[in-house]
Amino acid sequence: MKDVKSSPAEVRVGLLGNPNCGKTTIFNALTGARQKTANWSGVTIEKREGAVRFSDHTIKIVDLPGIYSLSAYSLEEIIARNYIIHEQPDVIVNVVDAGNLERNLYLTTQLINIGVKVILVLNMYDEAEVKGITVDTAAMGTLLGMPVITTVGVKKRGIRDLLSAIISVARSDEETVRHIHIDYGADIEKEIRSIQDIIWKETRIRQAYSTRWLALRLLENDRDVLGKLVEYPNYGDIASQADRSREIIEKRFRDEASVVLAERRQGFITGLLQEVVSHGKPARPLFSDRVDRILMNRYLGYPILLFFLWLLFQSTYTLGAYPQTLIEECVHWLSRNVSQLFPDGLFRRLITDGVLAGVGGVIVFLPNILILFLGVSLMEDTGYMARAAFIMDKIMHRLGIHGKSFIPLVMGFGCNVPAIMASRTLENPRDRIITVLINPFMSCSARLPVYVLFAGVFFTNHAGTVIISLYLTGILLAFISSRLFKRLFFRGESAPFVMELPPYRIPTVRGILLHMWSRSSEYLKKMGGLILIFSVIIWVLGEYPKSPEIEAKYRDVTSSVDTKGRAAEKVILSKKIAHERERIGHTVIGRLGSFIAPAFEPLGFNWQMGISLLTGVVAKEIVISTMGVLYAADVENVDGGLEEALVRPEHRISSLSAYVYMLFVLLYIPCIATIIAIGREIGWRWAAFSVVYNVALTWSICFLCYTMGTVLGLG
Amino acid sequence: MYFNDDSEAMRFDGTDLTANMEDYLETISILLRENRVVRVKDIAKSLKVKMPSVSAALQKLSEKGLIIYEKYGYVDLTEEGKKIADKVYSRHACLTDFFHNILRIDAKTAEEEACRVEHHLSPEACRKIHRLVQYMGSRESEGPWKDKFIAMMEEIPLSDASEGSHVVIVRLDAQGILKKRLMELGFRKGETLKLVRYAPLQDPLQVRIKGYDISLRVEEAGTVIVRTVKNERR
Repeated sequence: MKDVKSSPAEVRVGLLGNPNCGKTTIFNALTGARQKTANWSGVTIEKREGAVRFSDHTIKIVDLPGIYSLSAYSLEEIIARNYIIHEQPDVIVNVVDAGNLERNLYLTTQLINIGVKVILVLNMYDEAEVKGITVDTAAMGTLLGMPVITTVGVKKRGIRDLLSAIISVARSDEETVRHIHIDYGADIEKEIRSIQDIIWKETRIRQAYSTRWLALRLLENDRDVLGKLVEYPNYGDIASQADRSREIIEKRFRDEASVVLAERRQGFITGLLQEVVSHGKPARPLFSDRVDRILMNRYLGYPILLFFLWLLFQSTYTLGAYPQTLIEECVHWLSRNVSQLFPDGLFRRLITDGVLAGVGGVIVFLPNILILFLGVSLMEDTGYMARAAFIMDKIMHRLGIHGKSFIPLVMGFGCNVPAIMASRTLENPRDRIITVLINPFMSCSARLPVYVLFAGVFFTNHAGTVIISLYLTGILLAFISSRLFKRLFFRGESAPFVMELPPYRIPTVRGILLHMWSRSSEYLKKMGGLILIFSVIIWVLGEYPKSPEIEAKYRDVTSSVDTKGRAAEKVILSKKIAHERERIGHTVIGRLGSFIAPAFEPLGFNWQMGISLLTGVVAKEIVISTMGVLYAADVENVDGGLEEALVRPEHRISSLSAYVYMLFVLLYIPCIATIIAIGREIGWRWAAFSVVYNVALTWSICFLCYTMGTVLGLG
Repeated sequence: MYFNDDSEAMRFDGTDLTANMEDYLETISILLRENRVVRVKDIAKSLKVKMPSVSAALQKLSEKGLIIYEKYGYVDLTEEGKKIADKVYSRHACLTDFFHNILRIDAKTAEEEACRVEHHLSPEACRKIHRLVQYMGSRESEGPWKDKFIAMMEEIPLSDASEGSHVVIVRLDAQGILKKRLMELGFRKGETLKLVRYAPLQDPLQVRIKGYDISLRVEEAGTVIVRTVKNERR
């Protein structure tokens, strides 16, 4: 049984279709929650897989990227095509929008010769019927040589028919399945044959590919297919025959061969539709037009978009704050109880301060992610996302990115992690990478407390202006970086903006919940683990090595104090803080802090500021708590708080260095969770680049600011 | 020197005047036809220049004996001035005709184009253009070639079409992936499109093809060559 590719009870299915044909709803209807998301190997294009049991068979379904053709011009097309050719699925389910057969069937015509069994699914059939379209599916199936099934994905209609069709096609007892040819006309057919004749000579090619398909692709000058043939001995002959044939066709028809072939396929579709489709009175999509008139109105368009964003932002971060507090309390409660279970010591501290704190740090983002993705999938599934991209594209394009980048960038002001995950809505890898890379410059809400503290202390009367200047600096640098990245890494590569504006649809609750669920579970599985591990590592670095002397001294001090009364408590507290300060100085982070202190010197930061920046890599909120520990260490200052401590002259913090410090916090390394999100979304190399780029940029800018400020006498 | 007013050959001869002065004469002549009386104020308004500049120019024209002009009074053309003004005007009218009827540029733009070039053409070029306009307007030129020619002149890039207009695709000038993508979406010769709207910032634009709405950047729409469909009822 080992050499059998797939056991008879297992059927492998690839789901293929145009964007906006309802492919995802069919996938969800087929698989339910039994799905997982991954990336196609080596690229950052999402691969969704799912399985379903049906009449003693396990049907494994892969959702292929949404594409308009198989011509291998884009990464998505190459992925889909390679899957079909090399993985040889048992069945390809080609989902088409029944209301727009003429365009959708173009992809189908490209499947005809590829050498795979196809089922054609006319989805959204109810909408087509409203438009007055009825299809003779039996006749269509006979003409195309594949079973044709009508479905309504959102209502789960026709799904059982589809499942039984998959089984019978896979078992080869479906009668409609047969080879058909699109007749390209005598002139072209002659050239196809002459290429086929040469390919035919090599048995191995014959076994791996359909020769007619190869010949057609070669006529269309498909470099990817040509590349696949290099390894065969008759490659040279094939290539030169293909060139010759192409030339003959181009001379004969006075146009590119690929255009001529495409026109023939379109002709085939037109003929087919005349036979099998009857049009009643077509109803115009009035509803969408009316909504568009408001949502894309010259004057109302932007305010409405801003309102929706405001709503999304508010609900994500305001509504999300409630469960967040709850989660934090739960974690606290848990760690209190856990600490009672174990004796004081290394293990207990690892569990409570390391692991539990880390877990808390992971799940604390979960409400945000759930709500954000609820909003994003609502926007996408209703069709509004495309409109938002439409009205924002001019501005974003000028900055080197796509209209759709706008929403992830705005979301970054709340939290960069879900914002980076939301960048997936960008189909083009180039736009996605740039959008992800500049996202950390959007000042997230975790950085705000730092600004509030420093601006409040050092710029009491202009705190608001100072904070706004920081946000604007971030935005400015994002746009400068975006243009720079485009220049550096994506020169000349320009993908067309051509994008569909799908009619507005009411999304299904199920679809949205599934979307939310898959994102959240992905966050927990893929990112949660890593964030947890790094949090523990950072905790360990901030804890070890321990110095027995310091520990001993602390014990002596605390035991020597009379343990009664408020005054005594205060003394103990101050001793505790003093101990913390000494202890941190001794740990890896503390040492690292003093080691890199010279690097911070030119920026006007003292060692306490340096260490806080290091611990702030875990999460930017931690900058403040670390400072609290490091500064509040003076006995007489226990009550005064951090604000007072900061302005004490012996700490030598000028308003200039305070501003530069805020700038540093704004721009330097994104937090651990963000780095991991970047790595997961666009690859670890980009994540490493992002860290290096941000640190280098931040240091240079801060240095420039500090030096100029000093020269101007602002220090 | 004597010449016959009706002579075709002389109609587009040069005038020895600067472009600026020609404009003044032409304007006065047009205003006279419209209003009977012409004041400095009217000229300034029509040419969009300041009153003192007009006065200075009128002074010069008056010295050359082309107009009758007294300070703060009406302006009128002399016989000589009328002749020159007519010359300038027929040159303008001929060019406007050429831009509008032959190159198929809309009337307002054609007028502006004519103003821009009229002073810089030689009499010979003007005469020949005039001949071309006459020929194209006559029955003599009728034939399939003329329809084809006019159709060609009516081609515009999709990005120049006006909001709400229906157009027919003439050809795709796009290359590579853009051409591929457009063809996959159904952009083909002979296909009818509706330009639904421009985005609020005039870029991108939304077109309807085969009942589907597609968004294109202006730059991309520039590669789709179309012809406006008149009296389209859809």
